[in-house]
Amino acid sequence: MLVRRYQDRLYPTVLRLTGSAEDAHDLLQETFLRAYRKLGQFQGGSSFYTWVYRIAVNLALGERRRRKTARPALDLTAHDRFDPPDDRAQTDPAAPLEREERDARIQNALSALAPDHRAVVVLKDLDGLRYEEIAEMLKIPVGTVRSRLHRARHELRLLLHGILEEDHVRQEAR
Amino acid sequence: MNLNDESFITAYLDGELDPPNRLKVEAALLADPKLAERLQELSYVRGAVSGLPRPTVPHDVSSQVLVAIDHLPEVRLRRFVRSSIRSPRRMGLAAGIAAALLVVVTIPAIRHNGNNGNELHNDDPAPVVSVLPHETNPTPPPSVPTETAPPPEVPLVAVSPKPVTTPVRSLVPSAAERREGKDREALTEVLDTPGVRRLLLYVDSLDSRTLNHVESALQKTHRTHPFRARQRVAQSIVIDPSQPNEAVVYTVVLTESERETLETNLEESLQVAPQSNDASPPELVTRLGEVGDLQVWDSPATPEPARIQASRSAPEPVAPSFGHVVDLDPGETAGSPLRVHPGTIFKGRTRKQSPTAPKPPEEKGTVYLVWVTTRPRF
Repeated sequence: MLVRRYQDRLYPTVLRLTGSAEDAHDLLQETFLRAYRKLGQFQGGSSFYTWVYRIAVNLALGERRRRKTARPALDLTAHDRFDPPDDRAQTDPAAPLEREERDARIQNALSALAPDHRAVVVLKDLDGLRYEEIAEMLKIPVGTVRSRLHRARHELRLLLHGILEEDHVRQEAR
Repeated sequence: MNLNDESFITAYLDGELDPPNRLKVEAALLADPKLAERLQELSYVRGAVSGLPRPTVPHDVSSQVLVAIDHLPEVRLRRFVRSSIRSPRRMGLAAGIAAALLVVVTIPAIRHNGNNGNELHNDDPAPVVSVLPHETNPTPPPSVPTETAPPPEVPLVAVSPKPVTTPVRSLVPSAAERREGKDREALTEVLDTPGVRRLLLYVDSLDSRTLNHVESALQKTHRTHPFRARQRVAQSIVIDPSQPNEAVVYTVVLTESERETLETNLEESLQVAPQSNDASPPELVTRLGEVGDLQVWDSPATPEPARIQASRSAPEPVAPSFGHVVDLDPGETAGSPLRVHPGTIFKGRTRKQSPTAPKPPEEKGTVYLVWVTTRPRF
């Protein structure tokens, strides 16, 4: 019951951190299994979801660090591999497909970030945590959260250059 | 704030600056159009990420999690313990339960500092917490089973090579401190110790005053816990045939499913159906072996709180009423000893203590055990 209650809340975070639906699924299982085994360590100081969330994030980051050497990060100039901007309107029948592609490109850019940078972006921009909460979760100073987030967004800005251009063109077309 | 550090525009974007620094950044943005442009780009990036969909998990993972849990070593150990409970050896049933519980207690392996009794480490047995009425001897009675002999195919039982009954830690050094709730504080401290999943409480008294006190301490120590949504307290009094003068009281704090399993196992072993414990806890589910009399003290002549005293007299032969469930309601049994036959199951309820009741005499040589389980309920 608890697994069913929390799996859908945790899945997007784990998915964005790992960049792989298969890995996210496996890590989700591992998260609940670890929660089961570490239940005695749950202090009740935070909500149960927060506790499981922390396990999930740590597992996902650990997994990414483990695979770091096997999966080289994309070069920051890799934005040119993206498709050229397309100014078709959102009402186009192909819009859902475009949206899917756009999401995939954003996910690719996220996956290209270093794990530490990706973590702060996901925790902040996807899950809406405050700097203090991120700092506590990742056990780093608040100032480090801020600087990592800034650098990560700067990298994303370069990686997502194509998408930003497309959006800019669309806005001007309107 | 150093405005040369552009990370502050990220903090500004996220609303993480205090008002004075926010004003400084806004002034800088007004003065530097390029900085304002970078802020806009960062804002786009943030919007792109936050606009990503939040998909639901494509395949429910709960079944895989349950299967994985079922294969965990500790769960396999639990299964072994339960299969031990199903043993047909009726006379040793309850002692077997206790032995199994004691073994399970060793699995979390909390290391204890033998010098001061306060520090807990990871490699020693779980702490056995002694709830000792003031000025009593903390030595556990000899009837408490301390170890079990598992079959060699269950190597996990050998996790703790040390005696599982040590270390003993006194929870209640004095009656005054008990009144101040020091015991609850100590209990909370132990429960909050990382790694502690099960706990044994020893009380060398069988009077209901101590029993009620321990129950009260446990209830007041209960912490809100998503995995402990429903816990039941089952108690049993066991007299070991080999130690007929020693009564052992077990209080087992169980999840609902564990209680059902325990009742099923009791039913299989005793060939009787234990009555459902739907009333408010605590209740007594008692199995007495080769014992003589059981007295329930609760009558005008003995205005004491209800208490149960097990005493030894000549063992009775197996009676035709084997397995008969006897209600221990003091209203029906007050004043006269019950004849106890082997295999008789007693079911009753502890009574609230009368405020005018005198302090009951302490019974030596009995043990009160509490097993706190934190088994998750997925």
